[in-house]
Amino acid sequence: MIRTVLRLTTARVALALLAIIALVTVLGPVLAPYDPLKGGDQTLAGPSAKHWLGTDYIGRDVLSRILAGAPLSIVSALEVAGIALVLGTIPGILSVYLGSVFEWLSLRVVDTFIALPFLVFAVAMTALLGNGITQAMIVVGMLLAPVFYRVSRAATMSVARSQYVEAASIAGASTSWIVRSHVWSKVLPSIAVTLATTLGIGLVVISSLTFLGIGIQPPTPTWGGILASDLGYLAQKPYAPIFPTLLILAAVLACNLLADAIRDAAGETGRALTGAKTARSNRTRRLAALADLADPADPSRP
Amino acid sequence: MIRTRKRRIGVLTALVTAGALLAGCSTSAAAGGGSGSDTVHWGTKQIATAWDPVVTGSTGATNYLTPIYESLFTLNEKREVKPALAESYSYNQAGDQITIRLKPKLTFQDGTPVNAEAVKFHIDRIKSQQNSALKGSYNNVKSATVIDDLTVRLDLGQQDYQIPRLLSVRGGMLPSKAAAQADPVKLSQTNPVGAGPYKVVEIVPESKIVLEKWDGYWDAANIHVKRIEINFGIDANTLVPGLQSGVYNFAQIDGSQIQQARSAGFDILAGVNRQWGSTFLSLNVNKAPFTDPKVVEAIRYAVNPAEFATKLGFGEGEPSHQPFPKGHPAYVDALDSEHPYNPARAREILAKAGYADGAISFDIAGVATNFDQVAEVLQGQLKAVGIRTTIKLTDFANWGKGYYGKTLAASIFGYVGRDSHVQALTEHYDTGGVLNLSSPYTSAPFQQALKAVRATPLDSPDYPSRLQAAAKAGYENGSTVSLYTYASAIAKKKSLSDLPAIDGFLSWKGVTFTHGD
Repeated sequence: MIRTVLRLTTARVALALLAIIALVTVLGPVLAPYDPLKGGDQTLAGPSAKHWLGTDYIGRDVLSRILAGAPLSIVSALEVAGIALVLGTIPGILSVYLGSVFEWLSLRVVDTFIALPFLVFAVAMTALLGNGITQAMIVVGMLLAPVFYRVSRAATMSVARSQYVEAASIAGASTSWIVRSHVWSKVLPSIAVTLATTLGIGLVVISSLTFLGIGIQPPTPTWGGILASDLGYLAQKPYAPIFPTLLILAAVLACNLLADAIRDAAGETGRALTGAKTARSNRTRRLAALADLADPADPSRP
Repeated sequence: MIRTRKRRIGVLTALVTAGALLAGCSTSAAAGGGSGSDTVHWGTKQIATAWDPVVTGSTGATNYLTPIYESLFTLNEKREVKPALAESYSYNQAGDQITIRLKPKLTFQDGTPVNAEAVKFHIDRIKSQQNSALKGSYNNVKSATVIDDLTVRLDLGQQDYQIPRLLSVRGGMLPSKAAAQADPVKLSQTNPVGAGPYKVVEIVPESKIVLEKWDGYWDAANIHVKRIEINFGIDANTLVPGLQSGVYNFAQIDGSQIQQARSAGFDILAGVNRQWGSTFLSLNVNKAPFTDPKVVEAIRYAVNPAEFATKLGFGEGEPSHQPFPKGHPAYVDALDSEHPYNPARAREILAKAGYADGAISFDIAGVATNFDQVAEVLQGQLKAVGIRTTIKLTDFANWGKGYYGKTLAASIFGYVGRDSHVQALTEHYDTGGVLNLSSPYTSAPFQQALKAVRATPLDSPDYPSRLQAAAKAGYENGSTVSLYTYASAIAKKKSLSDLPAIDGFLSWKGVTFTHGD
């Protein structure tokens, strides 16, 4: 699978970007040249040898804040994607097998979440649960869960109705065995693509919430928070928002490119994601089938 | 070849058409923006959520209400009380009753009469309506009695010569009794009806209000601007470009934008004689660690107002050790030197009181997006003397529950002054004062000084010194820590004449459009 993905240029670009972001996330706080929370007398200063990206409104080094803000920005996006994955995928698969009552209830809950205005709900829930990073992550994760629910449910339904699953069922296979052996591999590619996309969405949403003063409290640096405060001083430093924006853009772009690559590599069966050997055989079969379709008049055909 | 030529002609035609359309838009925007127009296009980042003066209280939001509502008395540029809906007032000998005589034949914008019944109903509503923000300010007004159709008497709890000021502009705007009686919620949300110079034509909640000159206004001859459109919730960064493009011709801008607006050739109205604000830290002496007066004292020494003024004031801020700017009648020189910035002294006080470095910690509350930067600077200053703080900013509604409910231990907040000096003091330091986080706590020295200033007629030579004595007693014995004061700025096109410079009051009287911007 990894080899298949790595053959794609988009995947290479995505992984290179993600590697840089991971490096910044891990080493950022250590590499920060100044204390990201300590202000100085030089406020809103432009880039210089001392402060590469200048200083902010209370004289803090912008580069240090961006580096120090990386872990929280990235980890919170990962948390959001993880919460959404768990809350959405498991009920999505189970909704096909646990009977009509669970199916009806879970669908109504998901419909409700989809109908809720995203940021308004997030603001209301953090007001209810308290204004903290954990609460914000849970809320955003809950709101993104319907995406996973729908994707996993659709994929599960298509497998559940296939003849080989029906055959397995007639042969006495348990639901649990069917899910593990047949459903999971079919659902996984779609989930992997959704997960990569959600990471990007999570980063943007968390940035939006920080922008609204929800979730992460000052002076804790985050990319979204830095962007929000920079926008208040456009008259003095019009270029300041570019730095955090570029990082957010790069992270979102990398996630989306990776999602595309996974989708391309996984193909139709999704076996590629469950084992390299199976992936190779699947790929060979798929390519052979495509070749047949492309040239039915080939004399070499039996 | 023919196709290419056709395409070129097509592209050229499209460009010419687009250019003409843009030019048309530009012309109409410029015209709408002021030059040659009688409409004020007002942009602000703020959002007006209520239109009932009883609900808004005497806050900065009254700038949006004063065109609609007239008060019983008004203020001139010397800050003297002058008749508005009322023509005169008189006190009894003891100074604990004030009789107000209304001008005859005045009506509200809905055609109902401005009479003594309307005044009594308004005072009763201030004192009884659950969401009244003026209740505390009218504490000393015990009851209102209708004497005749145009005369109303207010009975006071104690001698108080401040009442005409309380009934002026921010604290005294009078809504239609009929509208308030019919549906106070509608009055506040969609149907504000007053007796002011402008009536409401259109309200788009939290977005826009359109006002048109009302000819029934008692001083309509002095109103020359025909129409005012206030656009709320505008991104602060777009206000100056909005002025430049002609979308607005009048905008409330941040201090950080003053230089930009000035460079672009707009008039800037800013100064403590116009609109100002004061930012402070409210401490609750009923909650630890502020139950110990030494902690409050140490914080006063730890705070460096100059840093706030420099970093957040953009040349329009002034360091302050009291909630009034220099030049205000309640400003006390002595307070500035009483708690000068002295972190070493703050540490010493804490050490003597038995607090080890880092032993004191508390949450700094505030409204998110309003006080982020203030909280960050404050946190840094307190950290320097060994006080640990956690910033907890939230939305206004949630913060308001804690602040007005007096359950918070510490919060950053600000205010924009009051027309009655005594009202300003009581709101900060008296029991029930909206800005007194320690309420019901109030100090005996303040109460004594307050009584004295209330009992002093406004034109008495003793009034300034007694007012300052009350301001000093209030601050010294209160739990407010002033951070800085600043002038709120308005940028406007030169084609709109200057508004009268009256503290806290955007008066549209005498304002005209000239041509040749």
